[in-house]
Amino acid sequence: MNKENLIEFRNITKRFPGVVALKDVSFEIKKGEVHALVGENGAGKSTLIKILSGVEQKDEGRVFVDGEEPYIKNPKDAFNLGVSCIYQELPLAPSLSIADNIFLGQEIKKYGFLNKAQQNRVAAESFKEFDLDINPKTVVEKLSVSMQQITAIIKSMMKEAKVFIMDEPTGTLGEHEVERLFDFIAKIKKKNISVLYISHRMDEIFGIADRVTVLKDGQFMGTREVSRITKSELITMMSGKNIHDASLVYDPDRDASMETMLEISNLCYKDLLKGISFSVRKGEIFGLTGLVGAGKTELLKCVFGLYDFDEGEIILHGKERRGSRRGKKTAFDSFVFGFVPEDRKREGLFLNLNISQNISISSLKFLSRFSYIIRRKEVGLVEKSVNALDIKMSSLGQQVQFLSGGNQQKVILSRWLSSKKILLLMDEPTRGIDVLAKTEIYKLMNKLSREGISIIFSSSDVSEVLSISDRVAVMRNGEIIDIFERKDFDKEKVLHDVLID
Amino acid sequence: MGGQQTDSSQDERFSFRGSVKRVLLIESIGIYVFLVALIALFALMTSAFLTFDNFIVILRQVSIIGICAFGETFVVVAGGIDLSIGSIVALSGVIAASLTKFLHVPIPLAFISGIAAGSLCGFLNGTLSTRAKIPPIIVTLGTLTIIRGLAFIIVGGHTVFGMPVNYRVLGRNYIGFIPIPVLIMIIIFTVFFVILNKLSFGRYVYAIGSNEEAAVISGVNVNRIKTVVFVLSGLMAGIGGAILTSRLDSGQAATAQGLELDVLTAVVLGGVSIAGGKGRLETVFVGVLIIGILANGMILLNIQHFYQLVIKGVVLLLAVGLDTMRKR
Repeated sequence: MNKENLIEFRNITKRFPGVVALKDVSFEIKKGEVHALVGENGAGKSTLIKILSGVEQKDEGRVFVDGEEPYIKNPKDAFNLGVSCIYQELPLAPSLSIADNIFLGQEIKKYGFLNKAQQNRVAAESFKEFDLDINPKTVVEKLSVSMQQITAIIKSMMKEAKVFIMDEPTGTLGEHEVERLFDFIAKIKKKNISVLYISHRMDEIFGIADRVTVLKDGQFMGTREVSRITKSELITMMSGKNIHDASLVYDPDRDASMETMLEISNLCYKDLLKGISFSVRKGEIFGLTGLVGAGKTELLKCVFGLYDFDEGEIILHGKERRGSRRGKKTAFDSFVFGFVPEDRKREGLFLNLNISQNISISSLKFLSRFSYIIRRKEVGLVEKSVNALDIKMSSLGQQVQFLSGGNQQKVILSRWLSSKKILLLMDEPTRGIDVLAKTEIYKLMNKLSREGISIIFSSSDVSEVLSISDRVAVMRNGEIIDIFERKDFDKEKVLHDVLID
Repeated sequence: MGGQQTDSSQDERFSFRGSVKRVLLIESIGIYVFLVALIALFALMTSAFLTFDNFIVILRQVSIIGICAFGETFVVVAGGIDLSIGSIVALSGVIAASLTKFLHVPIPLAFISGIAAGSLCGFLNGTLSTRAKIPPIIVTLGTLTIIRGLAFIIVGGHTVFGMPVNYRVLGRNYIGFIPIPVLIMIIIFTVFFVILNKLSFGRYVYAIGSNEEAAVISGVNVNRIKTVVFVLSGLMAGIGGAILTSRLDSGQAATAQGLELDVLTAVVLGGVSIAGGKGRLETVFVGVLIIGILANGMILLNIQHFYQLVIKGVVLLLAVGLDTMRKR
């Protein structure tokens, strides 16, 4: 094994009932490099990192770590070998301080008692090494997400981590925080620590990675130097297809009408929304952008009816009004709209139910006679959706928990397509979804808009929001700072509004 | 379209190995195997077991548990739990007995009143769980005591007896060779089977149990459905109470204590997940049968009552434990 390599995968194969997740995959990760792993949903990325981190066992092949070929039975083995995972769920105790967390399990003691002073000192020093000035006594839950991630990383580094596996680490980060994380990664590289970076965000991969490996259908497609490949070449490797430039996502033939269908007036909700006012036209795609915490999700949920706002009015078609429900009756059925939530698993899916059941749940009224579900109608509707969105599954009876993230999102979307709603509210609809599936979702949004259905969607990805919307509103601290018409779209201006007070 | 496929030489859809695997993987095969094994065991140990008459006896013994279990299934699948059914059974019985004996209400009307009271209790459970947002386990823990207390108040601590002869018809008579309670159990099973599997209501129940938040977002009227499942459970307990008081030919406030435990045992044996969203009515029926067969078999073998209790608990753990291991 080459001394330059920290990790080597040789002929890795892994089978699950009915599917070969990985087939003869071989590649290496060098010491001190940021190595991106890309591929469509279902390509095998998760499986590969589960094998490396001891969560799954390979069926065939060999794994080398720093010159040795260890037997990784479980996550603890992997951790002891220096393989450290940084996922969405961070291994931190939120109510304890930074120093407490870093030394959890490896406390510094003096005569049997905790030496907090020393722990605080060492913690502060380890952050200083990366030009970060922190108070080690700060309680972790008060930190920003990127600082929490950095804390988790430094904690692992105390245990001599050699490689960090990061799976979609920037999902909940705003642009400023992403920068901070990337700075930090650049610095840990200098200590000869490697990073295995899994992401769907092309911009990030081209920003931070040295090399990128592509998986497709469980097979190794190639490893390339990031500096020597273009985005479209990479996407072609991932999918075998040619994808249009994101800027062509907007469908100019759509032509949203000028008729206002919804008006939001002075919406206030706790201290999270402060007097929001805007209107949406029929068939319009209205984008909301802003940092995490700007209030996008809260706004969508208030419009949908999930949250009962404190003040303000929502006026539908200029006639029906809905005010705060405190003591008053709702003027119209809150669920005249559809809602695609940000957290698929927690708020959107019935994980143990099958695809058919997940899709038809919102349309059962139309599929039944006197409450009796007409299976033929249900199957017809579900098949139509599956075809329209190209949902990849083994059968309609498959439980949705076994689908990939992108396909799960498509299932949730289909639910609303079939239910004849006039407005669709989407919260970060393409988060954690591969490039191909994203394109399909954009196509779908265009199609809906052509049919006269309005869409309000939120995304912290400014490029995405600018590429498909008719208008974009920038939110900050619970207020709308600015609304841009398409003809005035200017990425710099929008970013400026998003980031700078 | 379709997911990734294996190459056809390994395609398990067509091989024998695949068929065996598919049978083993049927969610509920474990419980059916257990049922058959239990029947075989008792059949071998005593000749009195495997007779038609004994089979009818078993069904008659479990009819009240069965009826209540079908109602409880709805509640548990929706993610809740109803601990008050024993008390509702008692309340329903004492109301029917008291109305008949002291107010000379026609017997059918008296039973209906008891059953209606059961539904009302269910409605109370449902309303407290949804409007007051108290977890069902705590609500029904409270109502089980309250309702039991009400039952005692109604009969002033005495046993009501001496009702007209027709009072016993519901619980003791047969139609042909089928006891009326068994017939009622079968009818209820059929009706509930249709509701749970073929009606949109049933689908909503599974959805709420699977992910209540997602159900709300998907436009399901969660509060209404949760209330209805509790009413159903109360209704079933009310019916069970009518059958019981008729069979005992008396109204006692102290009956059916601990019934909820047997009912929940049947439901859990039947593969219904306490977390909600999972479970089938037909396997609950099997669970009910297992409880009945176990009790019946042990009586035929002259096993003392207290040993029976221990064995019942062990069997529950074994059955569920083996099933859980098989799924891994």
